[in-house]
Amino acid sequence: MREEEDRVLQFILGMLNNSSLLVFGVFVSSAILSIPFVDFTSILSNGLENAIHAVSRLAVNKERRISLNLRMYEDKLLLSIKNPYQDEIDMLEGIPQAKEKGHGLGSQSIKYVTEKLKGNCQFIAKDGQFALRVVL
Amino acid sequence: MLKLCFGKFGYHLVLRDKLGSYKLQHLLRFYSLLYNGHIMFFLKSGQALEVIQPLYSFETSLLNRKGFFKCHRSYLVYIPNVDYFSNTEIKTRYGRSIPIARGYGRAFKDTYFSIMFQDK
Repeated sequence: MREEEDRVLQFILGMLNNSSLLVFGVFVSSAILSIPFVDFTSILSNGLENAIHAVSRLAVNKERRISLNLRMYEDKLLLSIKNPYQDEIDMLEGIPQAKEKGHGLGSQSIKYVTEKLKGNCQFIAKDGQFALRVVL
Repeated sequence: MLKLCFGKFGYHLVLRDKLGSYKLQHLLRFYSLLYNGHIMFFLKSGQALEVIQPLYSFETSLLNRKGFFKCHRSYLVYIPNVDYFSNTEIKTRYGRSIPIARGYGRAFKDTYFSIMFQDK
């Protein structure tokens, strides 16, 4: 159990080391254990990559903060990643659409993996704040 | 007559007839209502409670409580007991499928996430 939690933490810290511009609050739950590691980290990495990409495009005077929250609601794992954004976000059927080449599969991948795990996800872009919420 | 009451420790039903009243506790276990002339209360225990009473007699009091959503003209669902959902269907934690009416999908999704993440 502890080993799996460590793997998830190491994964998150690994992403942090590659960015150097983030402040995180991390709560890792044992519920992650019932979710395949590869699937969970796929959701996490895509969500964090999108967030890192969005905050890296913020103006210099803007606060570059990403908050990651993992917690339980009864037997459900709730994951949320929130970050500010600057550029306008186009949503199609609730999924953000990329404007640049080489981007755009992350959100769809999150949706695909979440549905594969019989969960649900939501993307919200409102008032300069973006939020990814996943229930597994 | 079946009357829905809300107590400090959750929901309970009071069933009244000429002989007296009977309290059915732990309605927190209930997860959906079906109206087709009757109402079926599907309980977590697997029991189904059938009542000859229109859905609207419960609807207002249930929808005023956080956690309930009318996803179809014939169905109310208790959101914490939802396992997962698609655009057209809800699967409950107890294996039952509940339809989502056309046009209710977006509102259901917003309400579901709002309740699960306890938005104010």
